[in-house]
Amino acid sequence: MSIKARSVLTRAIVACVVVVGAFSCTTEDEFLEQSAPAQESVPVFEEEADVASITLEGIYTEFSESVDCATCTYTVPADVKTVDGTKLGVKPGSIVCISAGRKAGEIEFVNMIGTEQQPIIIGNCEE
Amino acid sequence: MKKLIFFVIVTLILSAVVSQVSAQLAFKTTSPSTIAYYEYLPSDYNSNSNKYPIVIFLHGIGERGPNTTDKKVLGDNIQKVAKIGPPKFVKSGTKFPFILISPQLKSNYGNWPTGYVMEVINHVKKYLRVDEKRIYITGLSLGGGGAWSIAQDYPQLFAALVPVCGGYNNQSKAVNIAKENLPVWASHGDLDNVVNVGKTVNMVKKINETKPAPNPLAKITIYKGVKHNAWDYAYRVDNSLHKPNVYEWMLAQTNKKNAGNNIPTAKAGGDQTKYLSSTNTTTLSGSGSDSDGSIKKYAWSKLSGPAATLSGNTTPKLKVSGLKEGTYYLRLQVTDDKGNTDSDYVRIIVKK
Repeated sequence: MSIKARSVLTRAIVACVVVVGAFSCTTEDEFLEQSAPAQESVPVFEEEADVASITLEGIYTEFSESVDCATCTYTVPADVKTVDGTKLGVKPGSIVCISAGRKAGEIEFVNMIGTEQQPIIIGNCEE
Repeated sequence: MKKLIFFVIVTLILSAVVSQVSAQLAFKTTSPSTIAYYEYLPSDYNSNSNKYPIVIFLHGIGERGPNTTDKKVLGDNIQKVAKIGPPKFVKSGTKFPFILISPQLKSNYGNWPTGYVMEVINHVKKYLRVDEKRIYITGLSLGGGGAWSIAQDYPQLFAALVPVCGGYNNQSKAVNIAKENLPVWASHGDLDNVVNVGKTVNMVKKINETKPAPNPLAKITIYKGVKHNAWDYAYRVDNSLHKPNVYEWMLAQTNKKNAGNNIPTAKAGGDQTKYLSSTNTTTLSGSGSDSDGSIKKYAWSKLSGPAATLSGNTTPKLKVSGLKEGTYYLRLQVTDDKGNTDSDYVRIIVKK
């Protein structure tokens, strides 16, 4: 290889290293918008719960917008996240109350088994 | 001349780099209908011969693409699919451990036809190392309705169903989901003014009130004070709301039975490395097992790699001859006496 050719090749390699270095710091998303760092099957971002949600696995169990607190068979304590109907012995016809003061976070109800005639009711109650 | 050489070398390397960083979401199309879709593969996909779970994501009405088979036009519009939902997270750097396929509905459709989605699923199963027991379907809004609809028609195909604020489920077909014990996690905002939350509530109710009740029961999440954008909460990749989150929950579901019959298990054998200086032939020893029946059919096929001659394609042992330098991926699919199938994959690396 001639000296001139080597010089061209060297300049090309240097230029490419700069280009590769620049691009290796980006992801596809940065061509479109600001990206978050890549991670392997772990959260991209961690946030505090900013919404309240109710998850239910049950039969003949219904949600109600609001229930009379005086009728509550069981009231979910503020720090409880999972309510297991079997463990608590929640029977058909029970009224399970969520405190109206609970603004964010998940409550999960599992094993809530009512009957067609006596459904379980889950609702917010306000004193 | 010097400038030309310089320009060519820089352009080639630059192209390689750009294609590498853009490779997370690959634009592809099916045949015969030329349906556009985004394909995401896990980062270790090309370094082994493992099979992978696959998630089919169906977008909402706002992300539809043009009614055309022109690949250039489809390619120019496919990025809309990644506006919200799981592909958006891929775009922003999340590396899911599953294959994610996000088809784009053409604008002449008002909903997701089952045949449309099935063309995509059948197409990708031809060339990807899909774990047949871990195929999941999810979607939001119009796509949530599509996910319901397709799972109702093909409940045996899926390991789990995750419809988010879905619109056009059919309660009369809820029994199809219940009978197959298809795990369901549906979600909706309680203030949704586009698709009423009752759509999801009533569908889950109908599934769970089927007799006998499904096992597991379908579960429903209601987001309080949330309108139509339930997807902002349902698809979160962290555990700020749900532990497990929806992805972790899906991956924990495996389809083990169809119509009460255990699905068989295929084993394609260990990967091989061959040297052409010694041989250009090899034999793969596969097997199949079925805990409540027998294996009725073996089917070997080549997924990718240079040309080669396969013989004994319908037996447990496959002879591969005429090997050439390169990497081959092959699939063994076994079928049991009830027609259930499973696939496993093997790699042959051929060196000089």
